[in-house]
Amino acid sequence: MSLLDETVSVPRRTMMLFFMIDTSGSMAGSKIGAVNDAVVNVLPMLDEISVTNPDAEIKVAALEFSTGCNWLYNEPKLANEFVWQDVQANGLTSLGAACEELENKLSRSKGFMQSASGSFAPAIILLSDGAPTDNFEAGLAKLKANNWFKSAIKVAIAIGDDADKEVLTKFTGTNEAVFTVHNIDALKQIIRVVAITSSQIGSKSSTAGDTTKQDQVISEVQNAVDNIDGAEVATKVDGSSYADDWD
Amino acid sequence: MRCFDFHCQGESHKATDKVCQDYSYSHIDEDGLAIAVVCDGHGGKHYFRSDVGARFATEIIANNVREFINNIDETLLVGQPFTQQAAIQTEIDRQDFRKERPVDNAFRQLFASIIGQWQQRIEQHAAENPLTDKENTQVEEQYRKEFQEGYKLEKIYGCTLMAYVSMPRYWFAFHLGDGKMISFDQDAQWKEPVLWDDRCFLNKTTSICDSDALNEFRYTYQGDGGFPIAVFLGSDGMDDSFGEDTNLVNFYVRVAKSLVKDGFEATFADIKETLPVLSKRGSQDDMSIACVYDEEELKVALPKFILWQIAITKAGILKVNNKILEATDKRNDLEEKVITLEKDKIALRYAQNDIERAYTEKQQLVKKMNVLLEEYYGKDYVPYQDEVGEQPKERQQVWRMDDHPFRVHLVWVEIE
Repeated sequence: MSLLDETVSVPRRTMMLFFMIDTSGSMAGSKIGAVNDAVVNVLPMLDEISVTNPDAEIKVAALEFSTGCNWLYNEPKLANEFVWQDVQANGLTSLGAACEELENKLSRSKGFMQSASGSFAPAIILLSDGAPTDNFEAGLAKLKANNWFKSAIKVAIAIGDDADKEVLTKFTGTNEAVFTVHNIDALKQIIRVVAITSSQIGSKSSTAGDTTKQDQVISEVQNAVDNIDGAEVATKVDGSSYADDWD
Repeated sequence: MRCFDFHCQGESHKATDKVCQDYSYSHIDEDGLAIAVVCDGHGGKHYFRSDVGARFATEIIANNVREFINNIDETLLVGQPFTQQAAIQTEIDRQDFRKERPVDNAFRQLFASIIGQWQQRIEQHAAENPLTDKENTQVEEQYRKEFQEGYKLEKIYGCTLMAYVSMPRYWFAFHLGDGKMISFDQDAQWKEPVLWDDRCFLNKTTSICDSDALNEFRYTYQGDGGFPIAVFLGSDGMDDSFGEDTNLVNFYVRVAKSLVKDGFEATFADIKETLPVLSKRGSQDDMSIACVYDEEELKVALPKFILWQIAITKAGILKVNNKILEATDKRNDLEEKVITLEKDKIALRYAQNDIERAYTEKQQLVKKMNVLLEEYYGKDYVPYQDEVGEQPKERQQVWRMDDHPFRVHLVWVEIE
């Protein structure tokens, strides 16, 4: 006789994947088109990871920020249920407000998170092509005090040379987790690589020794970036051999 | 009083050929001492002897507790009301210092003794047991060097610990690190007897191997005649398998009911069978459990345990009913207008999905409710019903996607 009968619930563990997407005016055109395309195409892959992973299911939430910020849905969705609504680009770059909004949702009582028991640390992917136009430092300070954020896998994608990599480094905590892309194809590929790698590593129970999940993600994405034409780790920007090409 | 304990290798440890790093212990002594201990050795390459560290910690706690109760002036504890003490580190953070009484000094000596003896024991073990070939190949050079130089040995053996101790006139419990301790009173009400430490979050935990471990112990005592009727100690593999605390508590209630109805032997056999399955379905981690309980009190509280389960199931059904009503309102609002915007199409699809999912969830909860109602009222029980009811079947609605499954081009199809 099993003690795990119909009166006992054993829910699947959960990992939350957050996209924070810059939809300011400078993203208009091919950049925002590539982001929309890449996320739509990566969602079925995330679903596959979620379905085939015995450790955890993956839920997705997306926050766009321009003049202010907005969640695409007011609750996280399972990857297979997330219907992507193409985001449009216009306005400023309220990254500080986005940080505060993310901090609001990185909580159990008023946000998207569940009990820490049974949850994995979230993965957060930040995409931006510019510099914040609001009080980024204040927003980030609040976010950095959040336990979920402290534990999260954090990766940033700098879209083009105009992206403020210093800001993105402050967000991720290390410039090794900031990847720069210089063309549409590289942007699409890096979104796929970062989303898949973060989900695969983030939703696994076991970790490789003392290496943090963030370090594992960085290492794998860095390896992948070597094979993406037009992408590079931000630490190599000074020696960049790529020029921006967004046409 | 009775007790049991069990620990087993986790599913992920089987996959990576890693030993079980949990250890558990329980015993009822002739002098009335009841003790339960769970220690959870840290995972990760650096902690490659944490299974040994957990075993040592368990043995040392058992010995030190016996010495403590033999030597302590009982008047320090007898008569004391239920008192919870946070870790000193937490008191420092909050600038709220509460450990000023002799009993607190006594506990501090107990904890210092546990740490001190544990350190001695691991140093001795390290001296007597040089790195094996397997450890040599598995461990990174940095850690190998530290081990050989006798540096940071405590890290290599690191673990968490928790213990519950009951004597005829008082009880106390202490905890360092994660995992969960749950106690039940005569009304089948549960609580975490020892205060939680917020520094234990996700995969981060305080530990006996921390340099300020002595300041990280938190503890509880009571000597005014109030005793829990059952106390369960579980490593984090247990609570990670259940997510919300209510699910973990519900499992312990299930165990408590089994102890009353099926008896000790059958229940303990079930626990040994269940924990590996639970690891596979849940956390994948090593699992350990230790329990001290009062058999007679559990018998008396049995109906209250069932009522508690009925109450939480009812709360779950009410929550799901609200979801059904909200999603139905949303769907009805959207159906009343001519949908042209993609956004509205998506919202309608989500509303329909939410309704479907909520009804499925409700079906499971109602099934559970009926099992519990039968258990409480017997075969003549009245099956659960409410005004929201089951999902109506008069019309099926299907969204068919005409493009990419994750794109928004949707076609609405109605089936009469």
